[in-house]
Amino acid sequence: MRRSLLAVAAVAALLLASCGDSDDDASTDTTAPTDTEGTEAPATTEGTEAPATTEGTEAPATTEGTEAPAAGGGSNIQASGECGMGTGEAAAGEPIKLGGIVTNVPGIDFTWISGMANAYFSCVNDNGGINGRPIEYIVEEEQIDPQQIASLATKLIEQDQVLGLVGNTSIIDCSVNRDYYEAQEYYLIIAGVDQACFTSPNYSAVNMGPYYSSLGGAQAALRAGAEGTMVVISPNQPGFDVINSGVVEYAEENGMAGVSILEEVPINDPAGLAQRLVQEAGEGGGVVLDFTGPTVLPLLQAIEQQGLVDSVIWASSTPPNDPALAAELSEAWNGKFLINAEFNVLDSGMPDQEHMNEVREQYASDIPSSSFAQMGYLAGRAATDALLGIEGDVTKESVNEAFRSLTNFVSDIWCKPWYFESTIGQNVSNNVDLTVAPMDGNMVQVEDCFDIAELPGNPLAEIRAKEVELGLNVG
Amino acid sequence: MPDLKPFIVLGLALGGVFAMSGVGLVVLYRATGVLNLAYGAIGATGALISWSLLDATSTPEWVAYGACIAFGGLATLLYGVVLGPPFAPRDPLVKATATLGLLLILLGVMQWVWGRDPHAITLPTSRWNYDIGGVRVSWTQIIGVAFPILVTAATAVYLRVTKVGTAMRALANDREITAMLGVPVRRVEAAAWLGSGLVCGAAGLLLSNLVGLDIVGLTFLVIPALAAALNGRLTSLWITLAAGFVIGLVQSCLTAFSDLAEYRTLTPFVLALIALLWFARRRQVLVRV
Repeated sequence: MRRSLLAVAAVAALLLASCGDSDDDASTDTTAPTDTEGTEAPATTEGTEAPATTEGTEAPATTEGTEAPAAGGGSNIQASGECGMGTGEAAAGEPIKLGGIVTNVPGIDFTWISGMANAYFSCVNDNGGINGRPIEYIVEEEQIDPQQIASLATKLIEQDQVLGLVGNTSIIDCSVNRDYYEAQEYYLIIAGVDQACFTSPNYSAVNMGPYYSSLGGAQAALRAGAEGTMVVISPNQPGFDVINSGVVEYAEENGMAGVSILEEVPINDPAGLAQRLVQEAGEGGGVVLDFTGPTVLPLLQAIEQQGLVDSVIWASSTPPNDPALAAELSEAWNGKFLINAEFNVLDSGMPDQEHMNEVREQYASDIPSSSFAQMGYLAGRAATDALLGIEGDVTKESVNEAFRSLTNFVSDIWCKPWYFESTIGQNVSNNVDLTVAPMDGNMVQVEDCFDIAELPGNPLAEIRAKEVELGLNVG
Repeated sequence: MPDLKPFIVLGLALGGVFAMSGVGLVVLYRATGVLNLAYGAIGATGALISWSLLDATSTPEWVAYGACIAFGGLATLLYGVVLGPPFAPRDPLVKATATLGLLLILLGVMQWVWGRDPHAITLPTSRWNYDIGGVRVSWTQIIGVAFPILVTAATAVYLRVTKVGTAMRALANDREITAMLGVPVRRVEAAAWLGSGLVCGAAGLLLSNLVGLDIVGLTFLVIPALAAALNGRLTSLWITLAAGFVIGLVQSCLTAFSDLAEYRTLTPFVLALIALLWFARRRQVLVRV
């Protein structure tokens, strides 16, 4: 009897662990390519070789009219050793409350972003705060539960009475809470994940999110010679089918078949998945991975162990742009994992990047130096800049007005200046990227800044036209 | 029709390690009545300790790998020696639930110490590859198939011919009578905890290579092992071994089929359910006879 009970309990445990559906959406449309605006033709790379590195070799083709990441010297570039007012004295006035909500579940941990924003705010507080008032940053973690995240937003705004929301990075926050934030007239500086974050006037993300970043990875793969089929794989979480759709559409626009796969994370059989990806893409095809660094590493390791590194062109969205990941990869991956980088490389040596590295080292050394850290730093920087520009009382209204008024915020971590421009109705202010790849244990830049592709399914053409009209994204 | 050859190789290697873990679970359960749900977490912690030794110190590779196996043995032995006796008279369900506590503690420690960065271990055997029939086979995969068979055979012989093994089998039948017969129960149980832990450490090391050094992923790979053990009714080593291979093989081959791939994680559950239904039906027939 006892053994039966135990067996039933064990089976129940197995059932629970096996719960969760998966959804693959394969599209095999191989219609002829159409000449879409802003979608560059693939470079005439021979075979399936990855783009050459920028170190002493020629860079792959980049889109017209883009330049390398902004060099130091812009008005917003932070001087070494300073944050905010840079007085060197701790702020002691009444705290200014800001809030943030981040996802933290196994396989998806966005707390690095809020952690780095908090590190920057700590540095600001040690340097005079906001005209003598320290920033109190209240961060809530969510587990992809709509009810929970709605409650957390209500708690922050109505109970904690935060004046602004900064660094929100969640799988579902934008979808669930956008109407609430709009009704409450909050304008959020975030790191966006799902597409709802990029289609509301109340959000502006310092990043471009996985939809555009995966698209940038697909562009790099195509330039590197991918042909036949382009596969994109993301975590099986809400909204990721939309994220994959950009790569599928881009592949089809360029005469390739597009295949979208959603996979449970953490990946429990990376070797089998690696084989499947290669079989789906076919010899010489392209595969775009959209996972965080700790999730993607076992997959890359399995790919290498099975001798599949050269079978297809491997590309990725931003998260694996992490020196710690590069350090774990062998030489087999040198220049062969094309990662779309929404930000400059972490060892660029440019002033803002060096400043971020200093702040991280001093205030949050447990947070890895990574693209997530860059997102948190930039969100904190932009928010601080806005707060310091407030004349008069610091209220919910003045804080959110200051946030939404940010334009042409310069940092050498971005390819182009950033803005919060809500009159367009949808913000993708970070829409120019570069490509990095692992090389001898480091991440190195292999492509200069390029425009993320404009597609019928995304609003980039309209946004860029508006940028020109309003003088945004320049400086 | 996808090319199944690489999936078969992967499935056999993975299934072998599931099988080995299942055998470790069965031996421990037979001797102590404890279903160790922390099996995956212990192996994962051991593998991360190996990674740290390799990454931060000049520890020789084989010593670092040995540390993983040793940690598995020692951590399991420590749990068994300290918490085994107080839980001994309790229901097996209570004993299993207690190991969940150990799982959660280890999971927390791993997230705290190693949770931020990605980690990877590459055994030297993973670099030794051969192309067989167009499929790349590494020595880690060969070990993943052969070692579990060896471990199962050695365990079966050990249980049959040695005094401690005989005592373990006696414990499995009736702990109280075995104790009354003068068998040093705690020492025998300690041997079972140690042996099971060493197998756990070896499985963790192999899985960190075959599956990757992912904290959560490795921790919950106890599930296929548990399913294999259930197929063996928590008594039969050889059925557990076979079930482990079948689970690995089916799960891996399902990966190749786009329409079925999404259901592959259900494999351990489905096979365990089928086995339980089969045993239940067989018992009904026997009762009727």
